[in-house]
Amino acid sequence: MTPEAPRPAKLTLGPLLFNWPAERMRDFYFRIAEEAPVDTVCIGEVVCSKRAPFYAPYLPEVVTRLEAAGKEVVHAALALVMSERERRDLAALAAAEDLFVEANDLGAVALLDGRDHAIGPYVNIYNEGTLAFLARRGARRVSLPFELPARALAVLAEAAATMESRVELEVQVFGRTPLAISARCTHARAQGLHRNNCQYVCEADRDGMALETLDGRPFLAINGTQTLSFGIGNLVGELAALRAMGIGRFRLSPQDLDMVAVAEAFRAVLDGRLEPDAALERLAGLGPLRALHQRLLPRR
Amino acid sequence: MAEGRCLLSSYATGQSPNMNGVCSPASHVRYEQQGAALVSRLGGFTIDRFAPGAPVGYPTLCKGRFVTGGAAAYLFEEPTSLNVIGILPELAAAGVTALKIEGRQRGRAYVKRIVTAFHRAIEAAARGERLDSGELAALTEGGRDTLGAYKKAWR
Repeated sequence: MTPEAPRPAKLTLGPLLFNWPAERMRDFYFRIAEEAPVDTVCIGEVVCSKRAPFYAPYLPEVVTRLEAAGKEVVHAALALVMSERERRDLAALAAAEDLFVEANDLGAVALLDGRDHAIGPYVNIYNEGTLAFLARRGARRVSLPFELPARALAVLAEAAATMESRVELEVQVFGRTPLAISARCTHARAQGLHRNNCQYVCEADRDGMALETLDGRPFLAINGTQTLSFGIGNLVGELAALRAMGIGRFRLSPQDLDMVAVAEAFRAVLDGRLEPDAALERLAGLGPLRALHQRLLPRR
Repeated sequence: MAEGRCLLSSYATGQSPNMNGVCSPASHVRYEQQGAALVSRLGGFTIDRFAPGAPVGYPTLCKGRFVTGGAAAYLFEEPTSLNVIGILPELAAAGVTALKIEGRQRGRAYVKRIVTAFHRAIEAAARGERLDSGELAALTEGGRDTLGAYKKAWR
């Protein structure tokens, strides 16, 4: 059997996790459509359903522009479904058969059974059995959990390569790392408010609200009901190793900086036109966030 | 935090509930004297600071005190323990026939005292009496207890 030529690696722009003003979000996606060298763009609300009504009117035009620019559009589902309304919205999303939906919790996984869909990084996958189970039910693409060490990624990639149901694996390589989601809103709580009457205070922090330890060390970032790493994960130096494992897709998670430049740097490294060190330098110059760092994959 | 979906411990220590069966593992905990204050750390991160004589808690990450916008607070959760002793008669009337006592990552002496207290409370409830939770106060986190989701105001 002759070895298959490796398919070119693809780039996915993950869903915008932060609460940006609706027009700003629309303009962000318009620019991504026109300028960013990404293959796929995820849209939809993953963190807090209270935000969606503000930008929902703009989404049809965003989708039209992205698709006209030749980008695949993935509709990401909510990571933590709590209310009756959220359940109805999820059911409607899962029932829309012309959409490629990314499940971010097991409720969505159940609703999407039997049709082609994607699995987002908020669904727990820690072994080959789980991956095979999801693939059999129609998962064609899986963005692997943020917690998995390099060795686990390699094992899952090897398993995926021999599975009867073809499944494409993706790893997030840029952006703050999501660490937790809660029914309660930490952003509101920090301002002495409840989620029910949150006054949308999360809108003030376009990359999340910095959280420091009592001795002033930056530690985490708060994004409404979600908690992320303070540092911006950046695996541009690990792309070659991830490719060698068989990971074929890489996710860039939007931050409030020039995401077109970020996508260009990652695309150039994947295409062999730019050295990872030069890319790191270019990415570090994108400020105002000075927290860019290279998170090395744990070698456990 | 939605349980089973939280990577905070993983991020701070490299060990987590889903990967290793531990959250905020004791192997990564340090207590340090800083002047008069005692500081608790997890994986090198300061989780809380205690004044002299104040009850000192275990540095579970989501029960730590952190700073946002210049103000320090218990941002995720108040350090407090769930304790239903005060409403056992109501739980029994609602049809509850078994109680789960947290024992993971707890000492034997702690588990013994809690279980003993609950046995007494169950026997009291069977006699139609109600015990208060006072005797467990010394064992609760931050010296406080809560009825959590059983109390309507919790959200």
